[in-house]
Amino acid sequence: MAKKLEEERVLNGIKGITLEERLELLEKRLLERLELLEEKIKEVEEKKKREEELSLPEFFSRYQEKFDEALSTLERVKKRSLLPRLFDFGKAIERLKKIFKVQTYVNLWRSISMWITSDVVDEFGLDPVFEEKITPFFEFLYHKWWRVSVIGLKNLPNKGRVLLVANHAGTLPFDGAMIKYAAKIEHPAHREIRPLVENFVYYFPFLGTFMMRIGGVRADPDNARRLLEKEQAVLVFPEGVKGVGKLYKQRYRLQRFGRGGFIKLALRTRSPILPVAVVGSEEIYPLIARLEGLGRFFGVPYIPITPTFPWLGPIGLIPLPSKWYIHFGEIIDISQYPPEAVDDEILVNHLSEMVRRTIQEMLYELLKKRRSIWFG
Amino acid sequence: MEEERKKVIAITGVNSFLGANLCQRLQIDSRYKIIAIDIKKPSFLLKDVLFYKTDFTEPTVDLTLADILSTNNVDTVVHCAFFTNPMRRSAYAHELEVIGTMHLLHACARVGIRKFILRSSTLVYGPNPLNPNFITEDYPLAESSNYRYIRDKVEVEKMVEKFKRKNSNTIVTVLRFGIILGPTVRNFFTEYLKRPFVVTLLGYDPLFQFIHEEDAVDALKLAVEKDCDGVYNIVGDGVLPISTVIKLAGRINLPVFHPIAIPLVQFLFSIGVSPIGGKHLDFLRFVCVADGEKAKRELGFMPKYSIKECVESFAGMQRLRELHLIE
Repeated sequence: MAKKLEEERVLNGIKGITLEERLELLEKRLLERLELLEEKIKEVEEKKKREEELSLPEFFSRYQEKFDEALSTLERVKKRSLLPRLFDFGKAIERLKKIFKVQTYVNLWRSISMWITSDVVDEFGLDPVFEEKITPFFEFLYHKWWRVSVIGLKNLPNKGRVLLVANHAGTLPFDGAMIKYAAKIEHPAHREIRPLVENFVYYFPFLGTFMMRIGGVRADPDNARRLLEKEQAVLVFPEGVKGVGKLYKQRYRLQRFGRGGFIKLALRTRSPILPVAVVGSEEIYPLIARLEGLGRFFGVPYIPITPTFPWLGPIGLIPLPSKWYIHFGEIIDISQYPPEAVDDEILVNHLSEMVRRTIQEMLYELLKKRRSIWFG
Repeated sequence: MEEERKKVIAITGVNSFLGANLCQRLQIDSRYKIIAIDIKKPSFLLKDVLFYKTDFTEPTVDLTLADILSTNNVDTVVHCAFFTNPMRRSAYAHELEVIGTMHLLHACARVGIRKFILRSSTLVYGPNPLNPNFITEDYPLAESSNYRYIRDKVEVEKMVEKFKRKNSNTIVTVLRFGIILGPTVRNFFTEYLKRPFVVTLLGYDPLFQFIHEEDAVDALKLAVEKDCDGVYNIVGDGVLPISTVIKLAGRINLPVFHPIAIPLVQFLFSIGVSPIGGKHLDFLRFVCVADGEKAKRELGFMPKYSIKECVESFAGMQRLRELHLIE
């Protein structure tokens, strides 16, 4: 204290010292102050540095770790308890939220008024966008539900017109869709097959439009001729409604092949005929009886009665999971007959009968090999 | 001498869209002399066009028409005197369309006309789920339709067919036009697409086809220039589902269950709100699309506009009209 006072005095020139001594003292003090300042600056700088090191990503990543930890705990809890496994709360909440959203109703509206279509349909109304949307459903049926096995797909030519003739069964025409998907998925050329669809379908709302959008064409000789002339593959079921609606006890027994219209079509357009046999389709809805009078009232050919329909209501509409086989046979070439042969009814009937016999034999062969309806 | 070499064309119904457009095109063509026949004089007629005010529902109109045809030495008759829209007064429509055509055909038979062109419509095939996707000209017409508008049109065609059988020297060209769509045309379909909410039938989405108004007039002119005997579908290339047509026109689709929609629309028609009757809604359920190949092959008619362009040209002009940018 005394020393400081002394210094003070010296600085202020109270104590008698020389000028040089005073200057020296002043210099000393200045240097001390400067050192102090530098130290403070260094401190501030270091503090800033430390703050910078703790940048944003790191800041969040610290929380991310905690978040992950929480999630994994949640998972562990979920795995242990049974309820969340049976019922997905997250999804349920999402769905509940959807009910209060306007967009849900807009989407529903759009689907009812058929807005989910592309601008371009082909000349028979096939919509590629709609078809793609519906494909997962048919793929599920094809791979998982009926486990379709395809035999002899190499007999289907890669290009050019061809008339596929198949047996028809199963109350609802799923066999047409399955043959179509077999060629689309498994054939090397991914051929698009256009199935011909029964007339009555087109009287109904939704059903007719649906068939049209996924590529069905109304069974009209004029339509079929137009398709074949464009070098397409056309699938025809000459049995027609008689085939789809045969009772379970008549299964795999081919009905009359119309009036040979498909032979006339092949003769006129000079198309080769490819017989196709489908096994498994008869068992999807085993038909016990069909009510034709009641069907006429509703405008359908018949009301089917199966072990599950109409007793179980909509559940009865679920087809049984039989094992399917689709056999593409050898091509039958009838190009040796001229197109004028269509007027020779006896020849037409003979050819039609020949195709029918071929398919029937293919069916018997497949049935002989089959051990079980459900596992093949 | 100059006048002698000119071909004389008589156009009935010059106030109709096709009649008016054909008349406007031919009256400036030096090869033709035009005789215009209608109940009301249109404003666009040039001075040298002869106009005859004629009422087709008059009982003695056949003699008047025969007089007109013979004094002017008419070479070709283009018959366009039809209603574009379904009429509430269906008895009057029958009188004008069917009986009027009968009188005209009698007059043509009397003077032994060289060529007769009929403006018909693809509606004569009728909407039916059993129609093939593309109807050719020899497909049977919807004679037994319960819709009088279609039945009248079929009856007219039948009469023309009978006329051809009796007068085999006359060249008879029947042009069945699809629904005409374009920037200026006005008919029941443009009325239908003008509304902000467009009624369709729930679960039905049939394919539609159109013909652009310019193409339609071109086809009619081609039929005048070329001597083609027979029936031709005059339609654009391609098809579109009605839902897409409505989308392209920028309207909102209002699907209604058809057992409700049909009586409702019939009621709206009877009070004058709807341009079409309930029976016309069958066109929104079932396909009625014609095949235009024969016209391309024989008549040499190539549509310049695709169906999508038809709808777009109509929708674009309609938008301008709504904004009051044009009349």
